[in-house]
Amino acid sequence: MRVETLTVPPATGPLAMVMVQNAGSASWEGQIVLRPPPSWQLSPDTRTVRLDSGETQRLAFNIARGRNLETNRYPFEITAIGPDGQATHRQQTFVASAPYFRVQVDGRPDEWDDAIPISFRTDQRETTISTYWSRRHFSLLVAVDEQELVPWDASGRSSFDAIQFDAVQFALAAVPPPDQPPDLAAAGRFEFLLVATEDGGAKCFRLVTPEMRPDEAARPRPLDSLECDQVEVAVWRNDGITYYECSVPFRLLDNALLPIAGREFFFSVLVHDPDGTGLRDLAHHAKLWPDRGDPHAWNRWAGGCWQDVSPLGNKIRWGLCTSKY
Amino acid sequence: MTQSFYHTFLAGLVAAIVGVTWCLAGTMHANDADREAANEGRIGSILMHTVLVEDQDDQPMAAGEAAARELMAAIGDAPLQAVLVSECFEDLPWKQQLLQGIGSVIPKERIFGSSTYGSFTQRGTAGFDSVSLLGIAGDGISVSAALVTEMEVARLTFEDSEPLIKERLHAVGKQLTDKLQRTDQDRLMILLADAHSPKNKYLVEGVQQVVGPDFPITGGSANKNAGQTYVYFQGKAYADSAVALMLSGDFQVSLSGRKAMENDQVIATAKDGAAEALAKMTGQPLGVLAFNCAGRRGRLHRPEDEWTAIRQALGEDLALFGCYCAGEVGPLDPSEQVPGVLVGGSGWHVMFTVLGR
Repeated sequence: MRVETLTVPPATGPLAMVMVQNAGSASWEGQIVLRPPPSWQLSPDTRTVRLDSGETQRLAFNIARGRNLETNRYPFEITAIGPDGQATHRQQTFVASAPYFRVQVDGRPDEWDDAIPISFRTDQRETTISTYWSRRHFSLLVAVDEQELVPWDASGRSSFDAIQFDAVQFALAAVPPPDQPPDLAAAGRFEFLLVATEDGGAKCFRLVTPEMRPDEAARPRPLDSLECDQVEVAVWRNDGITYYECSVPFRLLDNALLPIAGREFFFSVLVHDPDGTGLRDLAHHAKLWPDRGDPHAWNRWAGGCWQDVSPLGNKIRWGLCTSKY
Repeated sequence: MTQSFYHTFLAGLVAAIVGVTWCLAGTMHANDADREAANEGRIGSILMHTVLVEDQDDQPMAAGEAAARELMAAIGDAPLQAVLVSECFEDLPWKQQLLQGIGSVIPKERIFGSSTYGSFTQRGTAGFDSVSLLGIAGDGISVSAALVTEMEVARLTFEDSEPLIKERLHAVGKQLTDKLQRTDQDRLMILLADAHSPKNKYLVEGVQQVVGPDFPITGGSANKNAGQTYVYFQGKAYADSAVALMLSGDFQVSLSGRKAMENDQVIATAKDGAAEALAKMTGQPLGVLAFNCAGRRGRLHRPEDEWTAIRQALGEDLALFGCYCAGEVGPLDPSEQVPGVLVGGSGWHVMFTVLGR
């Protein structure tokens, strides 16, 4: 059982979505009870469900009364009550949503005060991810608490055994209609990589486009052939924090993401910190379930932190909202 | 742009224009009794017309002027009471140019409205760089308008400041209503405000403290995107403000509201809500107001599907003035209604109001 991310602020009364999967060999029938954060009201808080062996369902619970929290951490408790007893799963989720704001990619983090930041820790180091959207751009700020910024090693840029360097990698994909079978022959996502350069600048590389085959999308390619100057990017460091800021034009994303308030899409972020924590995976914080497709979920570019930890999938449900107020 | 649009060229502007008339005048009276009464001068005419213009040439002033000219051509000699604007242009300079274009044709004191996430009529839907106008004219209807500025709730959050939000918006609601000229023929209040759901419920409660819990109110919260939140009063843009219009005259209204947050339910509830409001109208329907949630539209796999469902319920000929908002005012979904209270402020709703007689 898993609570998905909330794709708009809860004070607006959206749905809380719960994923349930029957991992047993026989069908299961019972009730799923969702307990929300204190002072919230769900209407109703119980759903009756029947799951065949191996079946997964996505259940909607209406948030009749919710509260936005500055911490962006929302504790839920899911209880499955069946003929053989009950099981409870406790989980924190977060609001994964980009408010509307036209940001300048200019190294000023104060412009991001109206975002809805998501923070998580990896080996005592914090990563904070904020997103915005405007009519023409999807924008991202990743603040990485790390000891040192290691820029892209230009001398090794064409090598497949390149020296490791700091980077932020993110994936964007459309949410297909539920009745549409998944296209297993195509990657179905965009992937970008943000790096600092040795001259104090920054670059963006487009690693994956949706039509690529999944195995092809996962394979490393020389980065210098993938540079994408249509994405505005800035990387700077201040007070022990490295900031990666970028704006991706919607027109670069085809129809994967339309600039419409309320729209949902799939998104995730990996932070590569080779001289510190190694790989930091937002999907772990979102409690995504492991999936057999995970080995092909990310492009394994040369110079990334792939040696110790395998990332989970790239499909955290995200939303475009109007405002956090 | 939808297939049903046709194109008009005006001074280099390429704009898609749709015009729809709701008419209760001349030969288009609701029934024989109305026709007879009008002929005898006992009831006046009511004329309503909608225009939807999609600017494809980055000329908001020309788009506003084109829409206004189309509107006024349809209204003709009928006395204009008010024009309701739903616009989705980006940033204040463009919004002001649009208002300037509208105001070059229509007296500014008749222009009201708000920024929205887009508009729809029974002929099509439009998002960015579009404007829809509803003209209300005739001597059988009158419109009183009020404005309250400096509400000071826009940057307050519910978790920190709900009591203050409630206090301020209750006061704004009362102020707005007290400013309106009231008559014994008041039929419908239209409320447009910088009060994003769920704040809008307190604004409605403030109005209801004056007009009572069973008075028909509909409306929407202005586009809440940063830097885009404006209401329009007498041709000028105001931030952090609310506008109320009181429609009075010899006509009836019937209302319905539905809530949904997922594709199939959004489509089904839109159709149900539209059908219910239409079925409840005992007179001849003149046209429909639809204040819809931008979030609902965002959940559609195909944004036009909800509009198609609405049109199926209302028919292709009944005029429709719809807009996508950041919160809606009208009857809450049947699952959320409070006994004795006709309307509320909420989110994720589509609120229909049918005018007729």
